[in-house]
Amino acid sequence: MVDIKDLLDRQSRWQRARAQLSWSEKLRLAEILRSAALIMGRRQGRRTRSSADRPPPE
Amino acid sequence: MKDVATLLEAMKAAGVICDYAVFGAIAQMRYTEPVATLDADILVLLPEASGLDVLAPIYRYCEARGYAPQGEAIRVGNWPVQFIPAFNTLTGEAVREAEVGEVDGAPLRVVGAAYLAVIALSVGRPKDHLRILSLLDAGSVRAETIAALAARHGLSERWHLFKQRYLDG
Repeated sequence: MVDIKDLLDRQSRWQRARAQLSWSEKLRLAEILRSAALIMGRRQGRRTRSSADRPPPE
Repeated sequence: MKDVATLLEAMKAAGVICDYAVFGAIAQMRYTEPVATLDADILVLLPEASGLDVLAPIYRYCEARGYAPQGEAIRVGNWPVQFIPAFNTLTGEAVREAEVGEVDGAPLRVVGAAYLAVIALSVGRPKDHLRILSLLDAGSVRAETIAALAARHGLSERWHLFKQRYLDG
């Protein structure tokens, strides 16, 4: 069985470690997050458009 | 972001802006773990005689250096950069009291954690509240410091409500 407290403690340590990165490094990570968000947004847009192109169900 | 830092320092040296400081999510990341954001927000102090379109000199300066407008922002390297003139005493003070950070070896002025929290408190959207909680959680600012700065800028009631909602009990 998973020890939830241990899991949360480890997760918290990992998150704190990310906060200790240099500002430059964090900004590089933010750029990666930004690119991913833009790609997902474009895909979502295409999906929305393609479903809008379909004729309504009879 | 180094391109942005270099551009801002050059703009200040040329007198296009009196001063600047990064705020919003880009500033937050100096104090917390990385967060997702789509653009870089820059608070600027402008020379007195800026005319009706206060941002026009900034746009002209950027365009002359090959940085094109993109919607409400200017594209600099990988980042759309939004210039926001300091709009009240709080944001003006935040720029004047800004810290100097470093991005890939280039200096970049950044709003301090307490000012960032109190600006977020004044704006008051859910994502701003989350920013305050992240700054507190990271230990970048103390609740007492936010309370004092908020009081100095007439935001005690807002801070009281925030504290009651998220921190007390």
